[in-house]
Amino acid sequence: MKLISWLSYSTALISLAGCHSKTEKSIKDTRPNVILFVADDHGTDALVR
Amino acid sequence: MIKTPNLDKLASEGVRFTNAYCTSASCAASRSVILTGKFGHATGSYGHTHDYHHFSTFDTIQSLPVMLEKAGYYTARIGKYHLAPESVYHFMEVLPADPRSTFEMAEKCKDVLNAEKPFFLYFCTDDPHRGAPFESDPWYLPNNFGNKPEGYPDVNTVKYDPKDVIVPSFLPDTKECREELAEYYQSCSRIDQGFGKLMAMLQASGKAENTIVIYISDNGIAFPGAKTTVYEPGIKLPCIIKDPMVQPKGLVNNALISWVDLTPTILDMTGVKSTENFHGRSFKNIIGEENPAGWDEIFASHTFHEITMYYPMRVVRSKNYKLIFNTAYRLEYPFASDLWASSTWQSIYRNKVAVYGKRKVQDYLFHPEFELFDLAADPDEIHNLASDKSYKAVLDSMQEKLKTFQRSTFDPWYIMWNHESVMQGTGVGL
Repeated sequence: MKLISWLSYSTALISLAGCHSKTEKSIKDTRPNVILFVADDHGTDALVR
Repeated sequence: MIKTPNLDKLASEGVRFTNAYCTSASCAASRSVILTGKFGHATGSYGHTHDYHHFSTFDTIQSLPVMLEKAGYYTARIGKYHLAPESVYHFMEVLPADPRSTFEMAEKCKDVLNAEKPFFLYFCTDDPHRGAPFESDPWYLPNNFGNKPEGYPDVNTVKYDPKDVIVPSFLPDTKECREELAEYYQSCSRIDQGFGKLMAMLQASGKAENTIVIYISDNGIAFPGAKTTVYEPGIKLPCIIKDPMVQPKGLVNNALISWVDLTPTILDMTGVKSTENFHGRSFKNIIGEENPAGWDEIFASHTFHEITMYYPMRVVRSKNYKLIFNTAYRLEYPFASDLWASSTWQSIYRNKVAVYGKRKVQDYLFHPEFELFDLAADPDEIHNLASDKSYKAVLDSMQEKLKTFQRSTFDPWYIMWNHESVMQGTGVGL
């Protein structure tokens, strides 16, 4: 009986952890992406004015 | 004149800065500043990192990619690196590529653009750097600037006629210079096509509206009078930023910003907090302004290019004036290998021409301790006012600014203000 209770308790905990993990995954990280494009020896003379 | 439709489009959709400056007109030193927000004199990034030059940023410095990775960003780089050590400038992903083959470079970034996490992509071309070998044979032929007769995959080779190029006032209007500028233009057009491909891929990924795009250069054009100098052609650089959140589009921003401001700005844009004491500050909140108040002064600090090129210069540049402190003014001004070998310079040197652009060759080779220029009246920085008594108040004021700057950024070369200290070095506390 004790074993069954323990198994139920463990199963419940695993399920809760699973829900928590799914919740975390479903929160989308909306922070902006950044592209830093660096040319080599490009002066302002070549740039749109 | 140069065909860069994709960069033009970026400017029309974003903000173009007209007064953006690197702090050292040397590749490795400048890149260290871009990714740390600190002047090279305070981080050990005094000059080139590769081969026997061997300069390296202090291990204790936290760089932008490392801070972004810690905050949960996916960080990747492609193309030129020229930073050391790797532990300081660590990226999670390094994409292999020919850094001249700009279209292919863009294609290799597909997985980064489609990453699940927010990403930071550091995309660095070798273009339009001079191509190796730097020496032409015979000497009067132009350097190829990475251009190849067979071209590059999926890049439409755009050629320019030397007679059509615009020769900037700091360069000599010679056959050799025009031919080299035509090659340089071609290299710039190659960048533009790779950039265009990257932007098309970003659009296709569906992330364009949540991606900040920043286009800059590490230093000025690779000709004597620009790269490795702290004159305007060496340090005043392109800077276009497209932040989808910022309105209006196509704005021109005249704030004086410099590359020490980039890391704090990018962290600010991404909402990542840092406890680092940056030398620069975020300009995120003034991107959408034309003439924001309080952005009217920048500093520059150049120490080495190659290991043999010891020539520390410290600079304060305000709206109207620029002061250059040439701490090693007793030395002849050193040339970078690629600039010395250029047919543009060789045509002047071999023919013993006395003037290069608007500057006397002698003045280029031997600088005084202080150079003070009125930039409005003398944009070519030819007439040194440092010994003109009527500018003494300006000189004094700018010298004090430089001293404060050097003290506050822990510049070892601050001792150069006192000749006795110079003799003693920094280890003597007399």
